[in-house]
Amino acid sequence: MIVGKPKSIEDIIELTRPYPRLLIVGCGSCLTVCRTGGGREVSIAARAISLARQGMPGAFETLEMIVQRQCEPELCEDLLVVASQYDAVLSFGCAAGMQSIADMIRTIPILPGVDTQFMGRIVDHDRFIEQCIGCGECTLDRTDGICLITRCPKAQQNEPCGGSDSADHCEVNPDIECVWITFSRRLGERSGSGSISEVVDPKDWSQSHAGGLRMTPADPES
Amino acid sequence: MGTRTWIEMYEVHPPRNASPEVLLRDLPPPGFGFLSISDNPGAMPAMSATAAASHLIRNGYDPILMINCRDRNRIDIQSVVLGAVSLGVRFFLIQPGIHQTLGPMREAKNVYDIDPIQTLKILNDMRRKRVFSNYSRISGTLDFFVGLFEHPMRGDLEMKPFFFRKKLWHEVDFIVTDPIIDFDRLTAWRSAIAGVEGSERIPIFIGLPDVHGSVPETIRQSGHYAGVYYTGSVT
Repeated sequence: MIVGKPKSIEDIIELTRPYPRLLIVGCGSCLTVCRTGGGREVSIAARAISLARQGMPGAFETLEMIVQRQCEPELCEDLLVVASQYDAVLSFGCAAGMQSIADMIRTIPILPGVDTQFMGRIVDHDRFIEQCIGCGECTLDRTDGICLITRCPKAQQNEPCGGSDSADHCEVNPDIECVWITFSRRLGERSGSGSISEVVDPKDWSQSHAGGLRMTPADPES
Repeated sequence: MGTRTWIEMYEVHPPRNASPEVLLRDLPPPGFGFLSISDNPGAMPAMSATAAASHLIRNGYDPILMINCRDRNRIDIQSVVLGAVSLGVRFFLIQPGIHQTLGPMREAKNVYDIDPIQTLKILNDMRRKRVFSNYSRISGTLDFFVGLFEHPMRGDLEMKPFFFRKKLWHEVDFIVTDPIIDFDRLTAWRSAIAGVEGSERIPIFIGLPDVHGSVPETIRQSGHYAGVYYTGSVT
């Protein structure tokens, strides 16, 4: 899932200040799950903006909507119907969703209410951790289901960097275990799980974002 | 480096300015040991290690050029090697480099295109097969030595042979350890890698935290190590 964090209320208030009529749109998928862009977060933002506008000259109006997935145009038809009545859209979707809306609604600003962060999974209640950078060439079968590209800050594919502390925590993020320690400990737990002895050759980064903007072909067979 | 003499290596941090005089000041005389030039140490810009190496060579030194994987991709690493060899550099020491978020320019984007072992592979192909990483030909000769770091103080000793073997596979010429603070642990690490075929041929330099560090005589006389590497800068 895509994980994001809401912009601060102060930033959102400042961002939306020029617009008297504001359409606030949440997203019912990933950002609802990570409690960043769902109905609750949209309502909180709407209330905060309204409070900030109290006493300011001029009328102020908001409408709150939740779209199941902002990145799917077919699910945004209701949004298109009402958008023309507003001065700006404040989106609590991820950047993919926001840009999808921006493609559909061309006449008013689309404002980000969220900082999109990473592709990740749930660790525990309200905590998420990055798991994938979308390198385009998954080799999780060779590393026991642990992505060394993503989970090692230095993308060390052949050995640890040696910077972990005495408690085996990552040099860069002391809150987490060095992923090479995790990988070493898990070896052998699962049959055919991966090999620490295999020399991993330099990666082909052209399959990742480093190779340019990626797009799936219209025909999967082409 | 094919010698039984106890070798001393001293790390030199290039100046954070464009002054060769600052670089050359307070150095031990040529021949005192090997000088290892760090590469943007502390994730902070400094005089490029290649430029610093060039100044040292002109003043009679035979430097080791460190290359970090943080700041450059494979294109630039291969370029650095070509340039450095053209200037007379014979030794390279590869390291990941500390993560930029641990330094004063944490907003910078890192590279980490290739890790040190992958860098070793590419450099080995350059000198043995005379090809770049895309297998296009390199004309002329390219002779140099490549070292990598080992980390005896950290991690599971059972895993160490696997990592050491990967370095031997791509013909590492010498090994430098991280600073050693526990010589019993160093001995245990050395025992752990002893079973790796060919390990006895590779000179291993014991990292020490600074120039005041010392190695117990029993370790020095063991015959397992070629010398020391003082990680605190001499400048």
